Amino acid sequence: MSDPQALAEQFDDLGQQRHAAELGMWIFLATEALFFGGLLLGYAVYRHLYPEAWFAAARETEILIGTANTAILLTSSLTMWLAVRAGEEGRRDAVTLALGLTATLGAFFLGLKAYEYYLDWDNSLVPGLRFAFEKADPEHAEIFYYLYFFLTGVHAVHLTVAITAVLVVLFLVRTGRLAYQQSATLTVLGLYWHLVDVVWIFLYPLIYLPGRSQ
Amino acid sequence: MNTIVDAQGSGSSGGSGSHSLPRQAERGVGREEATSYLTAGHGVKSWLFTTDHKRIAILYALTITVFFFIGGAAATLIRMELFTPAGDLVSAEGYNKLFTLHGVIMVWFFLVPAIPATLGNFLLPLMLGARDLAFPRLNLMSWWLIVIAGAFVLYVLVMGGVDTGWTFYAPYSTTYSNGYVVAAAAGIFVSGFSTIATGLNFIVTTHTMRAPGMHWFRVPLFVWSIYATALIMLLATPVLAMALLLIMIERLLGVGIFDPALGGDPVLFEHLFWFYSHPAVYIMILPGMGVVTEIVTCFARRRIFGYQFMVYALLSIAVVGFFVWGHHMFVAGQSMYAGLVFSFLSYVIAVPSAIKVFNWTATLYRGSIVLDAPMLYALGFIGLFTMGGLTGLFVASLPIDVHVHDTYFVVAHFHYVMVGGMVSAFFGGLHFWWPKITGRLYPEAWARFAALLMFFGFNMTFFPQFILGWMGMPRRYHEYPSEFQVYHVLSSAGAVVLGAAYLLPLGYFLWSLRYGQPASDNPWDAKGLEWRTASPPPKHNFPSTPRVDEEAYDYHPPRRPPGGHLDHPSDGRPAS
Amino acid sequence: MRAIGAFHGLWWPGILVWVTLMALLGLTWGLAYVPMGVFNTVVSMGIGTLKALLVALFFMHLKESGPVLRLAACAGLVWLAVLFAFTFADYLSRGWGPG
Repeated sequence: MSDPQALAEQFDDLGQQRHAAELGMWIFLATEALFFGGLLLGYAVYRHLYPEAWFAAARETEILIGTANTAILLTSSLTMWLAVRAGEEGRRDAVTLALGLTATLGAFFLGLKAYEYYLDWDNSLVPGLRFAFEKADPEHAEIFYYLYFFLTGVHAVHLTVAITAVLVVLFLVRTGRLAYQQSATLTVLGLYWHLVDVVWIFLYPLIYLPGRSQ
Repeated sequence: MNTIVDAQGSGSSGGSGSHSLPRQAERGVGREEATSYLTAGHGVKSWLFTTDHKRIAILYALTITVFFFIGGAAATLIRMELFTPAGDLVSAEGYNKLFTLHGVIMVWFFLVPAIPATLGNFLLPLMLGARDLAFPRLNLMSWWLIVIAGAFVLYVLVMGGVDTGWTFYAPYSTTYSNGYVVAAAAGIFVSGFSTIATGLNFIVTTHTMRAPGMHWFRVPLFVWSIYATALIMLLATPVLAMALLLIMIERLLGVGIFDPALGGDPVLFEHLFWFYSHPAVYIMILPGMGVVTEIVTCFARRRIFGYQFMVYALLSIAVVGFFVWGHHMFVAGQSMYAGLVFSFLSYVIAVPSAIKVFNWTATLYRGSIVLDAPMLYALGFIGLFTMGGLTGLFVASLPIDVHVHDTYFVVAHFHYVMVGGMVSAFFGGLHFWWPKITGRLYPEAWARFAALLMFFGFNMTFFPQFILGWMGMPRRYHEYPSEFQVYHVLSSAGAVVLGAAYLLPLGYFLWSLRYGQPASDNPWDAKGLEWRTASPPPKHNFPSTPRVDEEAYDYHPPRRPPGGHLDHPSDGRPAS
Repeated sequence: MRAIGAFHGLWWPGILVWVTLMALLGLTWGLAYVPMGVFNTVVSMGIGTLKALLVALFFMHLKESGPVLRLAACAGLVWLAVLFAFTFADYLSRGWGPG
């Protein structure tokens, strides 16, 4: 067997190593929650201070694209979960297929997001560079769009990292350089991917849904 | 001495003792253990790209020493300027840049990494009986990140500095400052990732890699202190990173959420900033408490008094430390009612701090105390930290803070905690574990002299600042009315003594590397797994995984007078 | 469908979670247009939390994870709550008269 070495020298056994890797990733995810938390706090404070401008600004977001993107990301979480399951059973073809689908869905999301940014530019909704807003107090609507770009931008950076990581792991699994069944790599990769999904699950109602009923 | 048994006798590959952990033998970690980590590889590359936690600790130590002296140089210039009432040495703007540089470097490039990334990095796996941290490459990355972050700050320094103060308050930092705010903030942003990587590594290692028999209440209190510190690092640093990112973008694009002229609220920045920076104060003191605990219990030959209370105190300081940040904002336009809550909670956090001081004192009671250099530093820590803590109650009290806010009283208060406390503890720890790290003993007489000198120099520098502040001298001014001069002169003279006390150890530590007596494995006759391996330790720390069969700090039998005599380093046995 | 074959025997219970998630997405999208005042926010954030919980429990395996992992997962959220609670302690009490 040309099985790649799965156990690093500082660990005693694979169980310990898996536990360490999963705990490490969960802790990292906790720090991510606080990383986004700083921005979300800004969102909450200004929504509390300027509700009218907030709702007026949120109504101008592209809800169709936002909803489609949410569906895409939720689906990619399913395929990521399938990759992890297939990995546990040692089914290499299923792993590579599921990872391929996951990366593709992620790329779709980014593509739609880029198109949405383009529409925002067209509608003069880019703070600092091209911003005109007549439906409400433009100063505070601009803060909404500033946070919108910041939140979705930081999220897109995370997704880009996640797609890259998925592609790297896909390559390693395909070429047999990763002991994917024993190591925690797929599980940990999955955790990160799902976090990117969870962040978006919260961004969707914060960005696209406010003020729709008015 | 049969309380800690090597699982496999000599650790040779065939051994299988009764407590055998067979994987050791199977995996062939055995032969190479004979050489120390210092000689296990040669050349610059074997250091710069090492994944050995002990070598990374050395890299960190060298890095923060460089930053310590840069920050110290800025402090020297500040004290020189303040020698006379007139602003004759530097301009007002130059003075602003000096104290900003001093603050930024000392906080993020010295105090935050000081004990965790050097002593913590070196000792955590040793104290837990592990071969390395859980993620050695992440550990290396964290060092490289702080080097990159430091490069940003040095760039700022060379290009002409930044004048916002280390707090980067908006809208000054986002709109009006002419300094290199973006580069400085970027440096701190990057250093934040370094901190997070270190903290993550420590927590995972403590959870998953403790030696057999080391259950949670046998973990050394130094490890507990690092654990509590790492919790803060992980949960606070991301918020600072985001706040600084917002500052940078706001400054670059001219849009934003902090500038009132653009509809923003600058107090929001202060909330985000202090959500990190107040807990960060505990990043800068908890590891010191851990070091002092190890030293006090060893040099009093007593079990630590109230081990479990010490653990709970550490953890509650870490947690409650997150509930008090608003006491930095009493006069910043924050709601008065929120101020009341923050003021009350700030009193609450004094309780666990006081528990620690009482327990150190109780440990000394009936101990056979040996006043070697580490102990002198540790006792200095206890005194100075108590002073810093008690004056903390003054500034935590809302009405008094309105009076002393932004005066030298605050400056003196936090220097008592951070410099008097943390730096004393850092030097104490360096002396205590120096034989373990280098395999050499330092000259004891010189070290005692340096410890005493630091205590006196420190008090001479900062005690007059309490008086200055109480009299109304505001911080961050480069000139002042002449009635304050006597205190400023005293302070500056003290700074000279303090500077000498910092340089002295640098000299004799370097001297000892070549001429110091070789240290035995356990020159202090101390407890703890790190003393159960060679000095300096082999690459993978232990010939075989140790097994822990005794409680922590078993310095004297329970319910009996303390026994045992401390082997003085001057007659310490050479390594076998 | 090649995909169906490749994943034979792996779908359960993920597919059910996915269907629920999609249904919730449709629900929150639709309800956003129903005037409910402040409850629009409550409902949209509530459904968001439910979706996140499903992802965490099933896709992220938190349902089968040990206490330490659950603690780590909760820590970030608890601290986030601290950040929000104390900051809003300031903003919500600013209009309370002298101060």
